Amino acid sequence: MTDFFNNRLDWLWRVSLAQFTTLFLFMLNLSSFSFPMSGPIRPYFTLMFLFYWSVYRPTLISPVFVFFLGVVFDLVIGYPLGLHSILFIVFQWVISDQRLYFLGQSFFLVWIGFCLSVFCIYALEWIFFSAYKTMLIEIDTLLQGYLFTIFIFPLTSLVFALVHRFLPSENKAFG
Amino acid sequence: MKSDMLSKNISVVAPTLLLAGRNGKLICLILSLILFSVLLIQPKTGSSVRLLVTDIVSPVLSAISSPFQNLAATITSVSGVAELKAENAKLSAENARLKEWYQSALMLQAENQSLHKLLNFKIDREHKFVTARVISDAGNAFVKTLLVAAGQNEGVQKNQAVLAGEGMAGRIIEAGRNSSRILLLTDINSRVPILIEGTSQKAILVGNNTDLLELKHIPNDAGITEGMRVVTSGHGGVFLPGLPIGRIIKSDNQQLAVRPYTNMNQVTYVRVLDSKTDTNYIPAQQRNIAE
Repeated sequence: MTDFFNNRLDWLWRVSLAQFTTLFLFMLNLSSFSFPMSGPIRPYFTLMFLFYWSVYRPTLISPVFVFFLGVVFDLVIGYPLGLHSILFIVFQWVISDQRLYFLGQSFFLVWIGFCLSVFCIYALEWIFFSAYKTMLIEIDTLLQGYLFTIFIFPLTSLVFALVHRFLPSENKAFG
Repeated sequence: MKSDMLSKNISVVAPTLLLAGRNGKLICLILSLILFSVLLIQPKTGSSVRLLVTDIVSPVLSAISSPFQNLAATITSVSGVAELKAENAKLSAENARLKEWYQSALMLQAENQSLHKLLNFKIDREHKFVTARVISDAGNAFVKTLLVAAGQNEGVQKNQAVLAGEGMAGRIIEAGRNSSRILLLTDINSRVPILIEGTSQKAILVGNNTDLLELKHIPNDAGITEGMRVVTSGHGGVFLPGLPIGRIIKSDNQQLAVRPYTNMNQVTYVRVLDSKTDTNYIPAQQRNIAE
């Protein structure tokens, strides 16, 4: 009985650590700060953890969780409500469908996959907002944000990899 | 025994799988699409939820953003040591020039006071304002809004003007209990009635999601030149008249534009002006009746 509770506790804190890292990066994406000499440009942390966990541990972040992340993202930033729930769920869906391909590849190819998929999200956002505001949104800032996101991804992947090592194996998911 | 364990696990896992598998994604996607469609047609439906969520999230954002803002400021100041010498020389020259202006300002102030007395106008007390820290910004090219850690509890209300740095930064568009949202002047939805100082020319200042602001409804022969100051006209009764906004410049395509005094990308603290209780001028007639 004690072993059962110990296992459960162990499982809980390991999963919580991963969830906490994820939530921290999500809140960092919402908060106001800028990297030195980068102006207002910030990396898209949310897409980084969605991509990483969709490939390496798809059960960690459920679609319901992603849905609520999208809702909170839209509410706090001031976007049309539901927009990022759609984008994040589609992103997670596509990446988790391709995860078997990514799992057998080198990190460089995974990175290329990340670059392409994030580009699609930026493009979709740009198309939507250009149509919504009935003008072409300037792409300079977007491009800088995109480049920042893809170049910082290897670094955040390193953090995720460390957290990943602490996670219990998937077949031990319920202690 | 095994089947017992299996059934136990299934009972725990089943609801999770229902929402974690393809069905869950589909359900969440449909739900998102419904939410998006409904609120795109009726955007005001979600405003109370938006205020509630921002109020709940604002303390967390405040706690997270504060150390990062300080760290970024420290790194920037350390990396900027090499530039300090040049900056110092520039500031010394500027200081000498400002001393000359200070004398001019004193003369103008005295002249202004005597003219006000002559016109029998009474200048009301200084503007009241609330200083608030920025806790969230979009950080992209789509939306130019900020979230600040001050709301109705601090006296912040919708449509109040917001100042940052040397000029106006925007206005309050949503005021929750502990947090408020600012629509920056640079946002595409921003419209501000302005006056170009030195002329009696009025116009509408429009944001376009870039660092420069556009001037609308302005004739070609208005005699406007680069360097003229742009202030709020006070028309429409939303903003106080005379709030500084920026200077006229010529954009790359030789069109007149306004460069705001405030660098919208580096706003950390803002001042929210209380416009309701402060009118700059009280006409003498009203004062006589009150007395």
